[in-house]
Amino acid sequence: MTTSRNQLLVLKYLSGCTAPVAGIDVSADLDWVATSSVYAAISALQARGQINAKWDHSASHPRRMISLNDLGAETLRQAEIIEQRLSKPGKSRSGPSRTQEA
Amino acid sequence: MRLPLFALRFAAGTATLLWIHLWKWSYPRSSPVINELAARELDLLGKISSLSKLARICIDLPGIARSQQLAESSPSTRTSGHVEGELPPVEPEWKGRLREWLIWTVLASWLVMATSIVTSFVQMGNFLLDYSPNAGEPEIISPYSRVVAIALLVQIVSVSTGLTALRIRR
Repeated sequence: MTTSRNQLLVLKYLSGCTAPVAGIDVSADLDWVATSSVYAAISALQARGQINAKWDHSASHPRRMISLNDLGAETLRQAEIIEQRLSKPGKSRSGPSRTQEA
Repeated sequence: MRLPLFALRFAAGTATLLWIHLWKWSYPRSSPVINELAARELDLLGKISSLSKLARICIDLPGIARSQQLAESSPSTRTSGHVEGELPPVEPEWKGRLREWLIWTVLASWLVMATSIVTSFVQMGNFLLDYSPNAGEPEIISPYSRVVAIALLVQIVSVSTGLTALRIRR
């Protein structure tokens, strides 16, 4: 299953948080992405079991607090590995190079 | 010039609110999360979000509702800490899919009808009906009237069959 750019953004954001954070605060910090798109990403991640969610009833309105779990951290790690490989085009393909063949 | 803009935003806000309620009806277990989003983004009596934001909400809403219903239906992915009785019981997946299909059918049907009527007006200068030169009474003269009739029929049959199925198969 592919992970979209917005989903990776949310995973990356959560990896930097030490405590559960409200979805609404995530969208406030990722202000260049529309709030509804951040919510769509969070819901998709939750449905795949890549984040944990819990309602917090301490404020006037209940807030959904989310945190990264092991599966989400692993997804993020794999995405970062792929990103690193793509950023180094010369080393992205395995096998001998033309100069070695010659 | 501010009144037309306010009227436009108010109309868009009302349409978005209706769209939100349709998706909450379609996937009821996603309601608390959609409510949280709507409380932040949509306030008809206060500050209404920009048209682009409202359009974005309308585009993202089906995805949010579908995923959230899926998440809330499984014990391993459900949001913990719900207030007792806040969420409706878990229901079979086909019910949500059927409700969603009804929404898209009605929407597509209205789109087809609107397009047919506008095309009829542009091509023939009438809204499906015109006065007959012989009888002097309005009669259907446009071939687009058949498209409109079929779209209306599909809509009525789909909605009545779908709602009946939802009511019978509890």
